[in-house]
Amino acid sequence: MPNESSLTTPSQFEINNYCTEIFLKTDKISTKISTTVCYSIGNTTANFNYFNTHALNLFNPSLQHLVVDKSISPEWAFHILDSQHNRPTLPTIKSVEKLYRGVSEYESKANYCFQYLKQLDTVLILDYKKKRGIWWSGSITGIPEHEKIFPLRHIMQAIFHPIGGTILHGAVVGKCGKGAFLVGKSGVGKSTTSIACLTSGMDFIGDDQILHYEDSAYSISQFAKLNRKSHKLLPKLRIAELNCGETKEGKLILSLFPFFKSQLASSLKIVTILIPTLTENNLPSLSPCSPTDTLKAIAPSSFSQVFNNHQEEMSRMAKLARAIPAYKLNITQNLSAVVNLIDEIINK
Amino acid sequence: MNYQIEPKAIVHETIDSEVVIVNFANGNYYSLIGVSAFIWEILLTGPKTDEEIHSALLRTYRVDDGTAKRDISIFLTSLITEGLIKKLELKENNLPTIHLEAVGKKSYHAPVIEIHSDMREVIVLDPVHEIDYADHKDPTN
Repeated sequence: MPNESSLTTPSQFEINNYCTEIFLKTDKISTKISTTVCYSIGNTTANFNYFNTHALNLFNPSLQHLVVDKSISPEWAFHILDSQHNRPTLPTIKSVEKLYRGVSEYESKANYCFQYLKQLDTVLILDYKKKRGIWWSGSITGIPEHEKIFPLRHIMQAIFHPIGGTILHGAVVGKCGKGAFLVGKSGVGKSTTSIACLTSGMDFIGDDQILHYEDSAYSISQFAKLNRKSHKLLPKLRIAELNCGETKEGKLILSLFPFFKSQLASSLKIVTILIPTLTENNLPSLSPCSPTDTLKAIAPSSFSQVFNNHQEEMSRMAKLARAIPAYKLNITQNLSAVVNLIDEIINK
Repeated sequence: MNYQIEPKAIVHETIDSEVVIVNFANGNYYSLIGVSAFIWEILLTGPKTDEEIHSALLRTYRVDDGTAKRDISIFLTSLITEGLIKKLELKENNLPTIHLEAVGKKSYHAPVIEIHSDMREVIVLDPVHEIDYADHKDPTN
């Protein structure tokens, strides 16, 4: 264990020892695994070993659409634990804090990734060589609402960040394997537009956060959030059947699984970036958007999803903005016309 | 006086000759185009004095000495105000005023910083990185 009196950055030797000790401790309690569920995570698969039904009931609903057959040998395995319902002996906060210096300092060294997210009171440890990890929470019932809707994002980020992936703020819809990435600040119409596309038969990756890796968007959660006012524009949407709560801001939380099961895709290749803007026009329209304006639409709101080196993430967003054709999408209340236009641009 | 980019709370990217900067401390994001982007790129190479920036501007743009000095001062002050650069004390050098002919140089406009504050609440919402040693719980309790 690190020397308590030292505040210098711990050595790789200390980190390796610490993580090895944690894995040994959790391996000893493996017999207490309650349920194992195999999910598609990005372009890989992972077993989540839930040590109690509280964690399972909290996180599995968001991830139901990503469940894959247990007969598939998953690449990764994660223990999901919390101190309210399990008692693995994890080190005290002081030791954890002294080890924590940010993933960017560690991920380039040897095997391990170590993250302590203070605001969420969670610890994540990854062993990249053995492809295993531990996600531990100090207070699972204290997990903020957005973490329940988009659970375990930092597992995805920790797996994919070292190999070029990143969590981005935006919605992705599409068809035939190709998708449009809708970006921009809250309130511009991403969720309404993406749900309109879903109800019109398009595939849906997410309306708020996605994992971007290589040239594809991967789903993180099957939940969507919808402004109450937008509901009137989507008469086909059976709110009563889909609604499973409200956010603090008063948005409806919609559970799209299993009603839209066949359309909840795990991935789509991004072929276009769209920046919605509300207009009073009768018909929607598109106008080309510069990579700079595209970056300004993607970056600011995506950083709050990022647990890693922000400069690296900025560069990745810029790369995406340069590589993919982008358009300002002037949207109207005529959502059918908006959907048709998105369909056209995806197939262009 | 030396000026240096403040790396701790900002990220930046130059794309199509425009610099986009995000400041996590105040939640603003910025655009720098043309002369302002040029000055930023100079600062990216390391701490620079007013005189060094001034010389580079005169070499590259059709601008008179006095205008360049005034505009640089205003621009650097605005970058400092936004927390994007910091001042470092340096011994004063009495460098001579430079007069360069405007041959093959770009047309000049005063450097400005375009500030966007519509994403403040989201940008400053940072889930990780700053640890408050005074406020923590022992997870084993």
